[in-house]
Amino acid sequence: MKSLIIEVDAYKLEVPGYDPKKSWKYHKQSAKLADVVFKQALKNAQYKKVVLMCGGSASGKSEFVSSNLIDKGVIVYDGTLSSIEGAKVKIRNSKRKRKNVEINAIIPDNITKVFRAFLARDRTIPIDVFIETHSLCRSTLLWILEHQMDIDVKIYESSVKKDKLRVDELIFGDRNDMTKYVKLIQISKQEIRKLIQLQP
Amino acid sequence: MKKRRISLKNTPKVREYNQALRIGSKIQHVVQHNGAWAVKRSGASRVTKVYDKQNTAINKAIKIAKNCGTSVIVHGRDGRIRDIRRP
Repeated sequence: MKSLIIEVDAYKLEVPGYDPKKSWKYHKQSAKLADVVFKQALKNAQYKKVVLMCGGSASGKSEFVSSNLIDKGVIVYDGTLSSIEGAKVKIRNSKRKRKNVEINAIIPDNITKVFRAFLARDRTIPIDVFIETHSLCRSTLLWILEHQMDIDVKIYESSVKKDKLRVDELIFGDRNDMTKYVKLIQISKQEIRKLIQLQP
Repeated sequence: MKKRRISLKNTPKVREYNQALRIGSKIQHVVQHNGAWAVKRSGASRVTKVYDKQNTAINKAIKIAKNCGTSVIVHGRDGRIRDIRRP
């Protein structure tokens, strides 16, 4: 069975008066639309599982979804999960509808390389959005690991090899190991700002 | 911690991302060079061209970036990024 993919960015096109040159201005509205569709999707009894994607801009989430989750017969919410509140609501709503929830986090091994893809691809999105999402999604992931013990979490590492996206699943001995790792990879906005000081 | 390679299918999204990576390697930088300002491609060992004024170098870099579909990173005198232009 095909998965039901809810891609937050795709709903920007549905916002009345959408201007692609100022796409970041429509993020809140498109997220609201995506949330409505997500709630509707949760009512569908055919789907037993919800996958919430977690990762910063251009980390390779949508690429992973299009390649590896499209045929899994699950509901995929393809957003950054950069707010703990947003994650809480999505998890709560999914549980109410008796869905199994899984978090799939995509963490780049090198933020600078991903930033290059972001500059080339997401040309109308402000740099601050890149910085914010990469920092905040990691805090949300840590919060989920520490506070939502019944939620399965999978962590994937995205990397760039010969100008091609590569994804590896990170396999941990147990949840404690995973939590320790996620604690280690916490990164502030200032640190990301320093990392993306690309040199010629 | 172990790593398990995930094979990505060649979907339109994956192709688009890989193309962005290739374009991203053509980012144009405007840097100080021997008291003047130069345009330099990411990873290049030599500068493309040198200009007296930073503004002229930025305009040239924007032209090149537009053709390549990429961005311009303007560095200050200290080498840090001062501005990013995405034509």
